[in-house]
Amino acid sequence: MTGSFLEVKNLKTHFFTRYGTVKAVDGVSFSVKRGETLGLVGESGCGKSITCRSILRLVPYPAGRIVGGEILLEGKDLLQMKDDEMRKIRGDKIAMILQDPMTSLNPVFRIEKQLSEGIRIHTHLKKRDIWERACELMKSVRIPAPEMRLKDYPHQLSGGMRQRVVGAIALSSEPALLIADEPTTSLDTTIQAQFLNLLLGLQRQLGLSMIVVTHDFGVVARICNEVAVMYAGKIVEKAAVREIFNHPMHPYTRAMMDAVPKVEERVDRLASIDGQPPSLYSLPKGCAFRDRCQYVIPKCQIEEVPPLVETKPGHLVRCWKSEPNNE
Amino acid sequence: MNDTILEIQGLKKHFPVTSGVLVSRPVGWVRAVDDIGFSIRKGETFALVGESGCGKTTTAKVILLLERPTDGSVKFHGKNIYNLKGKNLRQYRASTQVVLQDPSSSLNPKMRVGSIVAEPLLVNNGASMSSKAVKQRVDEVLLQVGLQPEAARRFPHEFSGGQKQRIALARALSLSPDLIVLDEPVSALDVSIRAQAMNLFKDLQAELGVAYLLIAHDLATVRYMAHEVGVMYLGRLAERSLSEELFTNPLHPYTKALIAATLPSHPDLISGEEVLSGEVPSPLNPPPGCRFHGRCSHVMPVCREVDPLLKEQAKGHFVACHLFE
Repeated sequence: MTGSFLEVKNLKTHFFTRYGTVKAVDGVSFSVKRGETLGLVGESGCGKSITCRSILRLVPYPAGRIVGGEILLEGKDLLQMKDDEMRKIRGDKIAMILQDPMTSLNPVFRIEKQLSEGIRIHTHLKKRDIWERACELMKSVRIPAPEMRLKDYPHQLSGGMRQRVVGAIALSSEPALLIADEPTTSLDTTIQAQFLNLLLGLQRQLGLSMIVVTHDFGVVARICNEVAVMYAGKIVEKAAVREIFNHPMHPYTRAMMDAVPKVEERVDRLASIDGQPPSLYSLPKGCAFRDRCQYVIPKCQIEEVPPLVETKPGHLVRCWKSEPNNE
Repeated sequence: MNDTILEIQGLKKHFPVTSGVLVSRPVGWVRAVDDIGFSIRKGETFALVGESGCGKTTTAKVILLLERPTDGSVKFHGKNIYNLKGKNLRQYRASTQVVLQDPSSSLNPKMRVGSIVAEPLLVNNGASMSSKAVKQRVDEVLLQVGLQPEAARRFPHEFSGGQKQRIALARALSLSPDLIVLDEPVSALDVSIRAQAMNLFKDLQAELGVAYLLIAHDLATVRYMAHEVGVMYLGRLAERSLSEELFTNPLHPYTKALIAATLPSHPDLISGEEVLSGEVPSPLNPPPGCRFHGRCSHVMPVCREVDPLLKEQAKGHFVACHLFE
């Protein structure tokens, strides 16, 4: 594909534990175009965070290992790189924002120290210039009075401010790809909207590509161009954002959308997805969603996993029912 | 009205800010809750919405008798709860319960679920309840929240987040309270589990006639759950109205901004309304005049000087804003 900046092909990350093998990511493929945003959506434990960590090769070792696939960044396979080459990619080309800003900032160091660390490692600026660059970054994430705030400790900042500092650290080395793992889950509604707008603005300004991990379709609607819905380690549906909102095909996608209360209209009763995601230790054979699915048909009971089929250009679905001869 | 169970009038809670090492004296006051009033009717949900630090949780604490108010009254079935004594006080405490945001930290990890749910019964009824009756009641409430009675023998860590929240709700229900305070009850849960939890709250309300005081910052949750809504800003009510009226006809600029900040359910529904900039100012020195004027897009000279009063604009729809005077 032209213009795709990151391409993940058939990625498999498995965990080998004494209770058995957990296929946390099992054959995931997607690509992110330059300057666009991909949303990875799914419930806790569906493998979305492990997918992101695999891209940075930060899977907890030795239990977790990437056992197959390719991750191509501008055509080069990250999985074939030596450790010191990979070190240069992390933070420099690909940066990450984690969910909880309180745990991703070190409470005993001032903001200045934490922000300049990345600048020092990735650039060869002098001390004075590092400080100026830090101020500049704080301004770019719209923190008022950056000179003052740099002297603060993380606990002196509010939650939204802290998340912006984490954003500033991620941007310090001018990455081309930003991975945001549930960036706004712990924030207030208004602060969440501010932070998402900030990400959008920075994306336009710097031409960033982004991967946003979330369980909330509202975040997807607000900032994503493309969506991949994950369930039990596999992508079950992938499409452009408007297409997926207008024509959700997979029952899981539909159920997730119906479970979100709407502010725009009154809903008398929310549809909820009954049950829990299946344990990855003992995945049922066949479609992993069939025990919670409302539209189950006899074919779902067979042992084969439904293939990811392109039903319309750009719209891929992993469901037996979406195959034309099963309608 | 007869079915009003809780009536709050002119409620204030100010916290002193002290200085000095040996002799501490107040140097300022944080006006966490500053003159608010509303009422909760039987079997209905009243929601308090607002950003962090606007005083929602302090209001709930005052109602739960965990803080003493600086001024104002909270009347439960017509009696001021701060004058209750002895048996009546215990009775009030039993009839108001709470479910908190994070179930993993509100359930004791060393207690079995059965003991967690039985604790309010033992505390409030003392020896008057036989252990058999306690067990029966525990099984009953566990079933009500959709758990199996076998769950009583297990520990909280054996359950998922959504199930833990059900256990917390079972504990709150065990004394058949009239009012349950739900403090951000679903914001720690996954979206798909949220819907299950909210449906359960609504079903139990319909079945048992319990009233809820819902504290939330997500307006979509509020629209789904609440009958009446109070929008709080810096310790004051900016707007108060029946839920549908508030969402179809929001008046206060702050309410509009909050609605605009809520995540859209479709990419075509992203509102053009400007997102509120900045954060809630410190309640230590609230700005003079209208407390919202620093962030308001419709600010007028009068807003900087005069504090607007909560006035009725339509039937049951109260707004505190100079735009409507």
